[in-house]
Amino acid sequence: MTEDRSSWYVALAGFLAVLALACVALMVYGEWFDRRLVASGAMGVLLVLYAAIVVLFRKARLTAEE
Amino acid sequence: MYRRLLLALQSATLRLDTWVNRVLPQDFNPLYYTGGLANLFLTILVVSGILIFLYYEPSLEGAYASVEFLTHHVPYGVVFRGIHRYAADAYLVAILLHLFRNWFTDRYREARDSQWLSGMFLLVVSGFAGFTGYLLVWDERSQLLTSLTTQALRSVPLIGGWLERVFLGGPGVSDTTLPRFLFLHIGPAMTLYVLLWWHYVRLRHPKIWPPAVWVLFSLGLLFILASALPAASGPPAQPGASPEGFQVDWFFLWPYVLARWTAPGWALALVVALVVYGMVIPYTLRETPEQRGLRALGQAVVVEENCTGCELCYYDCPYNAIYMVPSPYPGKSRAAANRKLLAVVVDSRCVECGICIGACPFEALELPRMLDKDVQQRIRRGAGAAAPVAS
Repeated sequence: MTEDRSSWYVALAGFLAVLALACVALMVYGEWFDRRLVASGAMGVLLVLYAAIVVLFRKARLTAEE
Repeated sequence: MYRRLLLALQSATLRLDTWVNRVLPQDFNPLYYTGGLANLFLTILVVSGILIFLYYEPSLEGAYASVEFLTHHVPYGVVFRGIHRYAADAYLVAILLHLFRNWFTDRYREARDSQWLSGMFLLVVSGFAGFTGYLLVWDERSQLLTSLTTQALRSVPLIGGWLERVFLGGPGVSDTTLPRFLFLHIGPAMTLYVLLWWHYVRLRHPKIWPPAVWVLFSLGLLFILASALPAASGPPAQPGASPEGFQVDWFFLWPYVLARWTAPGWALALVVALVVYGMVIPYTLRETPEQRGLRALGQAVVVEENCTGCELCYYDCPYNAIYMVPSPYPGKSRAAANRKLLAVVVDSRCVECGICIGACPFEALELPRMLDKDVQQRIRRGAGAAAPVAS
């Protein structure tokens, strides 16, 4: 049961990583076309996604307690 | 009644902890890091404030224009302004959560009263620095806030006129007013670090920083807010005008809502009364520590012949009540014969919690009214009392 849930957490983290890549693309787009609020918003979402990925990795027991 | 309410709130706080621990790994529970989160937001405020300060012009003619220039013409200026503004709100929320959490979980009395008092000062100074931040934009809201504050200060008996002059930097709004507001914003912000030192000085292991995951999340949230709801100024202040309404920020400006309902003087009196009440909260329960079963064990005492100078008690004492000094003579036990250091208890800081006794593997610390023989005697007494029931 735990193993199943771990793989689910890892899969979700993978999905969030893909979203994070999209955010990076948005950041480049925002900077390139002078739409800086889009770039900074994408940066914010990227940071939140990264935080979520760290939590999911811990829940999947891929990282240990600090 | 008050005590029962506190117990109910304590129970609710602990239940909330348990619930969050089910959702998140325990060491990521943000409720354990409310102080650290406040510290994080303060750091963000200082860094973003320095960047804004580079463009700010503290004058009646230039203040509004400089803020508008930063917002509309400096690359990412609007984002930095938004981060500064929302970090201020988040900072206050974190401080209040920290305050209520420690209040409800009974960690504000006895040895912790110094943390409580320094925390109250931190709250007041932070609130004041936040409020003066609104004045610096020098838009209609700043003008109205200045007017209401001046009225409130003027209503203070005896020293009202003097307070008004100190606040405005002169007898009325003049060229010295904006530099004074800037000083009243940055000066208290710098004082916060002195107060933080006071806040931490008696704690051995303060959690001064949240886990990395919360640093990332908080920064991300601030970027999202600053981009989705950019901070904006109202219409510029007009000399001699008396603007009517303004957008209320409930975190910092709630006294001004009261000031408009009643009189500015009453709002100021209410703020002062709340602050005074906050300061005396640790002393409101009339039970003595002895009545609550505390401080009846005697302060910890070092059994010098057994101390090996290993420093375990020094690291474990949460109240900074144990110091290590060079050992003037060797210990008597075999383990203590070659010691270099000796533990010393600072009586005024010891809260008789017994943590050091648990930390020491060499029986080199004891609570004088809770010696081994006393504990054994209590157990025997308890066993004796229980014996007829058992038989």
